[in-house]
Amino acid sequence: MTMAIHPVFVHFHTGILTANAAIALLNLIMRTVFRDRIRTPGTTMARLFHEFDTFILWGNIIGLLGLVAGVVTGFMDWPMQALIDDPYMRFKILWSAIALEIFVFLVVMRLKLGDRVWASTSSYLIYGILVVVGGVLMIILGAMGGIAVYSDSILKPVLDWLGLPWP
Amino acid sequence: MKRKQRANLIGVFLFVGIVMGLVPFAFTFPGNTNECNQCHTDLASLGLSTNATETVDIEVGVPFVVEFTADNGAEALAIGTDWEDNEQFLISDNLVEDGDGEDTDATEGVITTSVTFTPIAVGEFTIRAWAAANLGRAVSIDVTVNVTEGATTFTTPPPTTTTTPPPDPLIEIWTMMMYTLIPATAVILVILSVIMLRKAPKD
Repeated sequence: MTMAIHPVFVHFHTGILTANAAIALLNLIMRTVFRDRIRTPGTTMARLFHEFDTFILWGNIIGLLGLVAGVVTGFMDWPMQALIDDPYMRFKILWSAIALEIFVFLVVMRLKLGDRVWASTSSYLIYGILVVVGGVLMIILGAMGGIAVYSDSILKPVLDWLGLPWP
Repeated sequence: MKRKQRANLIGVFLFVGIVMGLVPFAFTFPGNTNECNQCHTDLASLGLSTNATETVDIEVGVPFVVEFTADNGAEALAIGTDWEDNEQFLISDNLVEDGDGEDTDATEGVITTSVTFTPIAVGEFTIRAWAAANLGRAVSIDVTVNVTEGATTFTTPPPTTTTTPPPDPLIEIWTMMMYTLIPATAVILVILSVIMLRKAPKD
């Protein structure tokens, strides 16, 4: 009897990247609303902002590794033709590849720039928004995996309303 | 060109190259007709039975009917041409789905169907059928058939002319998106990285 190993690899990184999106949203708000207090060393706000930034960095690194493992095991578990015939799987393949690109970009840029990634407006908006976009993608892809296995998901009405999966 | 610029440029091309190189791995292997246990892992939950519980003795070229019943939530019953010795028979229906025209049991999750097999060669063969459903459920059943020479010579009928179904337009759109969207995202991210690097304050 063959065993599916993809399910073992999909839950942890989906969770951490979703949490990352929430923290990034919080950091974006803090960076915009409490800009002066964040820039003042020693304040609680500055410390919290720094902790969140570190959380996002490690979350992205761990999430990226998990996402790679999820993609590899996904292709190992099911024949390609079966995946392509299913609209949910087609959507997952396409947007997992794009999510991979986004998280590679986020990790590389954060490692290269350090916390200067939050310094200029154009830089932190790109970084923060892409962390949120990546997290939302993971939520959608996770829901589709759930639908493929259990025929239902708490997000199914939302996906139906959005007309997803497409194409 | 400065050494640092050259290194950055090589990095960008490498990134885009890897992305472009990975795209073909997401594409199709037509004709994949694996048995259900290649993907489905729960092989104990569904039920599948047949009226052909003993070896069927038949002459080559003489059609015979086998009834299959799949239950406990079965969604499809398949008899793939490539499985076991199925290619030694002409099969009236390779796939019956729950509730379709060939399913004679209206109960949801129960498929009852009669399939006509015509043996095209002499020998002892095994016909294999699979029933499958979501949650990774599947079950198979084998029917043993002993085919002997008939009184009259049987000539294998010429293969029926099959027209290739037109490709699913959604799969074509998806394929196009795979070729365009993934590299386009890579290019956009490279542009964004340049913006971020330029705008970032110096140490």
